Amino acid sequence: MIIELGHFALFIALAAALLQAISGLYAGHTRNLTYSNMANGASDVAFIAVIFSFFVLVYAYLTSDFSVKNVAENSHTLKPLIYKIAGAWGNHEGSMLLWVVVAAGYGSSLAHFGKSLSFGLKARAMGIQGLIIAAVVGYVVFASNPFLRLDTPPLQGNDLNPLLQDPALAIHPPFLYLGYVGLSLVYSLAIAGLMEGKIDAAWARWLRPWVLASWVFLTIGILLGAYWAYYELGWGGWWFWDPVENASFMPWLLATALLHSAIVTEKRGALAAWTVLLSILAFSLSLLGTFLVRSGVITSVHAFALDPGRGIWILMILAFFTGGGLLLYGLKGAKMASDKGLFAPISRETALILNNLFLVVACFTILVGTLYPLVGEAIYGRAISVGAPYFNAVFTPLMSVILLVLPLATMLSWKRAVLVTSSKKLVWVALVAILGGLLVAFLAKNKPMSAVGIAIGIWVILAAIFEISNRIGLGKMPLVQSLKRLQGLRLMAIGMFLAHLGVGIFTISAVIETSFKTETTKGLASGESVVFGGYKIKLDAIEASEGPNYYGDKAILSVRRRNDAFAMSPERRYYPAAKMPTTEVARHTNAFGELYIALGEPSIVDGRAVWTLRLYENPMIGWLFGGCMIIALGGVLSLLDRGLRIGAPKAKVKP
Amino acid sequence: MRIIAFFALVFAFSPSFAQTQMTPAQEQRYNQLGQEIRCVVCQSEPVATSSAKIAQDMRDVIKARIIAGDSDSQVRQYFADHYGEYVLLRPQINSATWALWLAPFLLLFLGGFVVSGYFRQKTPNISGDDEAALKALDEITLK
Repeated sequence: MIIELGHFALFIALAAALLQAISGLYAGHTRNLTYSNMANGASDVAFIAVIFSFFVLVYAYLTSDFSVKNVAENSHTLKPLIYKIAGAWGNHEGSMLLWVVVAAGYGSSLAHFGKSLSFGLKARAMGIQGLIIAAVVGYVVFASNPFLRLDTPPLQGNDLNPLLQDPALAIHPPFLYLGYVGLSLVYSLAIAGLMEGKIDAAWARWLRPWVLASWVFLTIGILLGAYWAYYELGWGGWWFWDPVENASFMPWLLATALLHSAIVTEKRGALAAWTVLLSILAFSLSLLGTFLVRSGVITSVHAFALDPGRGIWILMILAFFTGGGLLLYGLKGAKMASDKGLFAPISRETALILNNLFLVVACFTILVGTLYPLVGEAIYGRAISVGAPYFNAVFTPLMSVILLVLPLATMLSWKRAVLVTSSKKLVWVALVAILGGLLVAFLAKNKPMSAVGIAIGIWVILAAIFEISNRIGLGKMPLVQSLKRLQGLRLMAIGMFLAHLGVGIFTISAVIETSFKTETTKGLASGESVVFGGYKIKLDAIEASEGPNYYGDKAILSVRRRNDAFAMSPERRYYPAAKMPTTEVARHTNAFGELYIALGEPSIVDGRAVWTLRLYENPMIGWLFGGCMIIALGGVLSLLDRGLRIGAPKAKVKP
Repeated sequence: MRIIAFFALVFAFSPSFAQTQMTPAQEQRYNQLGQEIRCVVCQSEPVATSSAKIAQDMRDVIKARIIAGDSDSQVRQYFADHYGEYVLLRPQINSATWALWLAPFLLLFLGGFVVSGYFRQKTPNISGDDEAALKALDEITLK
């Protein structure tokens, strides 16, 4: 019964979202307050209805109700509680329901928190958001319904893919969707702005918190996914340029570009049309990502629950919102002529345009690479693979340019600057960075590109520190006074500092991790040992391990390096319900890296069981993920800046 | 598909005891090439990170070719000849992939064109007087 209520709530949500769409758009057109209130109310109804549906699905998972097809296919009575809950969104139907929950949540938030928006803009944005919610709820109800029943319920379920039974991956989809789907509201605001015919600094200020929030969530979501891949897949890698990873990374790149261009639009009134275009494209790419992940058009290691029929639905939604958005942009974008802020070719505006240019080119290069196998198949009739080596080769140089320009951008003044004056301040920073690079080149032979990468990282970090100390007058006035100035700094400024610092830390760590990690594979019998990277690793024993829904083998290793001795125990698990093995790696971390050991399969050599160990030494890996955390933290601080909330001009309600 | 391969060939990962050991430099090349050759039965994985039996065999081939003295491109070519260009995760430059490799340059060129167009359109006409005034302003503010 309760399942049917959850199912029914989806229809209520569909009706409410349609009402929200119609009344919002109508209110925007007629400036009618009643209809605008109706749109706001409808958004709450839609949100409550989908939340209810969602909780019903979670409830079905918690009670292991195998009469529900979705639960039978993805759950198991013995599965730990947290994965029963997470299982609700660890599959296609459930994750699309989560998509709708987040979209409706953002719509409802705009209704409640968007009080300062101008009347027409808000009403229309509510309307567009309603349209998006309705389209996807329709898809959930008619093509991807998680509440379908089975005639003969099985006694036991098929279990969730054991690779997904992991804490980081349990919270990875919610974060990713809070980011992905947040861009739907950014899109709605952009379309509403186009319909209003008014894209100005105030619009950009209303837009920015939503961009920032989406971007922070997306950053954390991607980070969680990378971290999970690192410790769960057992190959020591953290980024594989898999189509699904690319699908989340492309919107992130555009959201990053958008974040910077919206600043230009807000502060200088320039680049308005461009900011609108980016908003449309960013959401289009998150829809495209959903399409790629869900349709199975592109093979991916992440692909689960593939169904080409569903792909058509998502493709239609994608075509409607992207095509419609771009069409409206083409009709109205050029006529806006709201670019009031003039600036000289050498100015912070230009530096941010360069940032945008390279981010967007990087994004579309990844898009080309991701889709190229389809092109090869369709046009040339040849099966072509585009993998990590391609993406590394094209992405790294583009990013390097961005990182080289970044410090200059923070030093240039708005409107017009003199390059020599601004860059003079950074001479020392540049010298230290170059010296650092030369040192690396000298110490590590035959790694010129790593030296360049590290020099760029130092350049970014030192310039960020230099910029903020310059701002608070560190060294130019008594320390107490500097600290006082630090206290008085806008959170936005500190946020920018942290984000750029994080980028630098990530860059250095990623370069060191990729170019200096070592790995080896070794077969050991009980009692044997191996020397790797200064560690002496001895296999003491293999023990059987058991959990609620798995059993496995656990290697007991004793590891020694100089005076340091510790135990590690990598494990291989087998999940009988899902019929899948997983590796649980053992990691020993210190300040500058970690020893990472995965246990492979045994084989019989000369009558003894020999166990394969894969050994990795991954330098700076903690700093790599830490750098990303700092980037996200910078975004959070910017989001907390008072300016985003109180500084926006108050709307005049014209009933 | 991957799951089936994963399951069916679960005993695949066993150490290979080739007669000749690789030098550290060769081992580095081996690890690098393992990332560039695609496992033929997997969804989207290089042989270096696949547990499939065939991936192990392909890794052994890489090792054998390296020990036999092949260069990196000879190893790649060997795989392209035997399994088709599909196995190369770093696509070769040929008639079917030139657009792929040219894409970043084309996009950058296009973007640069748009940006420069923006500046041509935006740059205000500065008269002689203005120029003198701006120069004076520069001297005051930027020095």
